[in-house]
Amino acid sequence: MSADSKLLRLADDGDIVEATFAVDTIIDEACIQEIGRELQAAVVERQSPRCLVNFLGVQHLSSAALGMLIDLNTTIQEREGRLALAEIEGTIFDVFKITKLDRVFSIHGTAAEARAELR
Amino acid sequence: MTSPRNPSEPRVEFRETILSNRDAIDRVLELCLEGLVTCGHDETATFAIRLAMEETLANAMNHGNGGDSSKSIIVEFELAPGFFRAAIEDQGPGFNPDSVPDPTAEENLTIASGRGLTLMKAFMTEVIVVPPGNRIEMTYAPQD
Repeated sequence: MSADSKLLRLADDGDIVEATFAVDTIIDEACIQEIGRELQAAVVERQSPRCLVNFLGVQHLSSAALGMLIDLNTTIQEREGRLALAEIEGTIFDVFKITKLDRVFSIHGTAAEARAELR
Repeated sequence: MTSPRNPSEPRVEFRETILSNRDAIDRVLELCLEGLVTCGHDETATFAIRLAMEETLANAMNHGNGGDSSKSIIVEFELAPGFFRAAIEDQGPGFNPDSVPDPTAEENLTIASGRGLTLMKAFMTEVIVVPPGNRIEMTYAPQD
């Protein structure tokens, strides 16, 4: 099953919810709030949700985007699920390192590695 | 810090008082991005400057001006090849940067907000919070 919006592509194989961004810039707060709502809706009704957020193609993000991911991680952990991030490259990865969020999130080089870790 | 004056190089200067709302901020960011292209900034500089401008303007709108869209923000920026300087001033009472919790401290890592200033300081060459704290001045001038 899959669901697409202007901001996010969601695929659900019944096991893992995988989100890919349809935009290359995650800066605008209204967009971030909408992305957060879509991601929360995809996991909130599940028992032990497993979710992969794929950053392929993302060029820019802001601290508000980090906050949205932290909230998502909290929701998933409250349901004893797991969140993995993948395909975070270059300067975007620097943002996670600077804020030490690379220690909070499970970050993988590729989506395949993240899926393998979640299964 | 001021930019070296070379009349043969492209230069973009902006100074305007804008309304404290998202549309006005997006217009400033768009003009800044155009200036970055005009002045030949690379991807690394573009990322850093775009991030710092977004964080500063969003803080001015949401925290400094408290989300009051009737308030305004003074925006100045100057771009030249290899150089960026900006000053953003809101109408709020200001804040003490020393009182902002360190978002990289273990106990704060899972708090959803409070990382903007840390990112600005990491990506800019210099960030100054001018007392009483409602004006941010920042410079990006990486050494070759």
